[in-house]
Amino acid sequence: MSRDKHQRRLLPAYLATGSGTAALPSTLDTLTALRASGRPLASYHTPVHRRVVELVTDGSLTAVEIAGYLSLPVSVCLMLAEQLVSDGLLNASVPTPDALAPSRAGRPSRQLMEEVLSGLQALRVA
Amino acid sequence: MTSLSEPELALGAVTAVIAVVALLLALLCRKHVRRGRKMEAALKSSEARVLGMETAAKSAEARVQSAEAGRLGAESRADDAEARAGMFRDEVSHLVSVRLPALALHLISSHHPVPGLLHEDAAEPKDVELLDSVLALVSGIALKERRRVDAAARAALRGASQDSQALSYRLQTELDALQKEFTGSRSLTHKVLTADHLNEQNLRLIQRTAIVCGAWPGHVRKDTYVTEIVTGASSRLRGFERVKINSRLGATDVGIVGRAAEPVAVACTELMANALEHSRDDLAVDVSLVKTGNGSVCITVDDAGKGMTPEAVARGARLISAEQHEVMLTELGDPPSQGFAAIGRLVADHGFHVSIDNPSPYGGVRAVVTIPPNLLTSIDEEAAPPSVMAPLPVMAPRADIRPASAADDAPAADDAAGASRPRTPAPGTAAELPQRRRRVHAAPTGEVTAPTHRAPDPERSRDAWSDFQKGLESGQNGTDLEETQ
Repeated sequence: MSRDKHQRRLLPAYLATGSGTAALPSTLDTLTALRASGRPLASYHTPVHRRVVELVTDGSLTAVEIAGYLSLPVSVCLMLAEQLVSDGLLNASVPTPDALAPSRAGRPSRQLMEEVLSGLQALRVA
Repeated sequence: MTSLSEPELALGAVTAVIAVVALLLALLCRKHVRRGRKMEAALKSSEARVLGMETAAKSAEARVQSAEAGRLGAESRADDAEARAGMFRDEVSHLVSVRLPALALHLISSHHPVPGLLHEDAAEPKDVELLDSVLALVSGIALKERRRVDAAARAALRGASQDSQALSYRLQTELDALQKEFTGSRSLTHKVLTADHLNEQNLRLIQRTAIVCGAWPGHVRKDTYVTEIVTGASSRLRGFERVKINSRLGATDVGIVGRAAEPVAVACTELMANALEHSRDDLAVDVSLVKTGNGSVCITVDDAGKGMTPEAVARGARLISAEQHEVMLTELGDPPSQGFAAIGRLVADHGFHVSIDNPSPYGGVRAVVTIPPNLLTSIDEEAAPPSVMAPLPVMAPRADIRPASAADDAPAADDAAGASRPRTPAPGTAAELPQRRRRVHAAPTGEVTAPTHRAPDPERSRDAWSDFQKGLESGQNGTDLEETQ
């Protein structure tokens, strides 16, 4: 947010969420993967909502990563994500590493299987 | 001798007697002559004395006359002096009972007139001077005392505000840290953000009061993006969601130099606060940023409220003009209009310009903050990217120019596609900055054809003129009928 720690903050984080919004129940974890659903933004969404949606349009990111990209506090980013999920603009999924993502056949990828294999071999050697 | 006869003797004796008598007579005569002469001289001298007395009498008479005249003159002078003293008394009592109270009112509010003397023409210049000097002295004393009291009040208020401001900044730091360090439940985040916003509103009020009382804005910023300043300004207000900021700066790197950043932010906050306050809760306040041709940046705040009365505009304009350096608390009214006073101080100190006397196209007030080029700078976006909370620039207003005829068809098709596209950026183009597109209504080039020369058609023109005439006649008949009815 602020470019310099010694400089007084100019843009408070509540600008991102909007002050009038009521608190939603905590449903997301900091590592929940988020991806845009493709639905259009409404007029009440702030520019930051738009930026979040833009960030996850091409692929999933976790809430922490989004916070990092946008220089926002993680707590605020979680709040934004929850607002967007409840508005149907983002899809949340259980955090899974990319490598674990099922391939087309619905099975783990070959690369993953090879890594598991090499790991097991390493264990046996030890 | 004896022989002398008796007659002879007698004769002699008679002669002697005569001689003696003659002598005596002669002597007597001489005496008389002398006395006569004496008497004559006496007569003469007495005559002269009479003359002298006459002149003396005359001069005495003249003296009497002059004395009389003197007495008369003195009497009239005494009357005159009496009259003048009476008039002066009247003037003094007029001064005490009418003019001084009027002056007291005039000092409170300058539209109360102070009446002049009772007898303006008859009064002596010295009296006029004397009486007026009383008024001048009284008003001088009153103004001096007022300034002293006002300065004391301002100093007290400034000290209290600055202490409170410092505490609020500390609270802000704590709340900011709280947001960054913890990811607790969402309701906690929500409460921390609400507390942050409340603190920010409080900070704005305190800062404004401090500035009105002669303090500086409280801290110096680094060079800051204009969009960030305007967005930050809106964040200090309740209902900031209603403030819609449109940046039409063209470039994203336009910044305000550090020393003017906070003052401009405070001025924008106050103008937006006015706009929010004077328009309904469901109406947006439009803020647009434009870079003008002469290199300055204009921040325009439009509201759709009721607008200000001409008196309020004049008063506000007087407060925000840079002429008035010292703001008196007594002149701010009740409730005190601190916003304009604070802006006035900042404008005087930092050299930007604010105007509020343009009507808004929405019927409310249009306030314009103009930042001259010497307070602008460009910021390295690589080193210090603008915050995601600042609005991205949209296209600057440009004249619609018909494109060159060769490239006419292709862009028109593009534009038609663009018009039907949803407002959200399509996937793939999302991360890029918004691209400037030609306006949609410039697209249908086929409809607007250039006027071509037509051959004159006598029948067409006759028809047109006869239509025109018919229309005119029917119109006139209609009004005639209405009038007769």
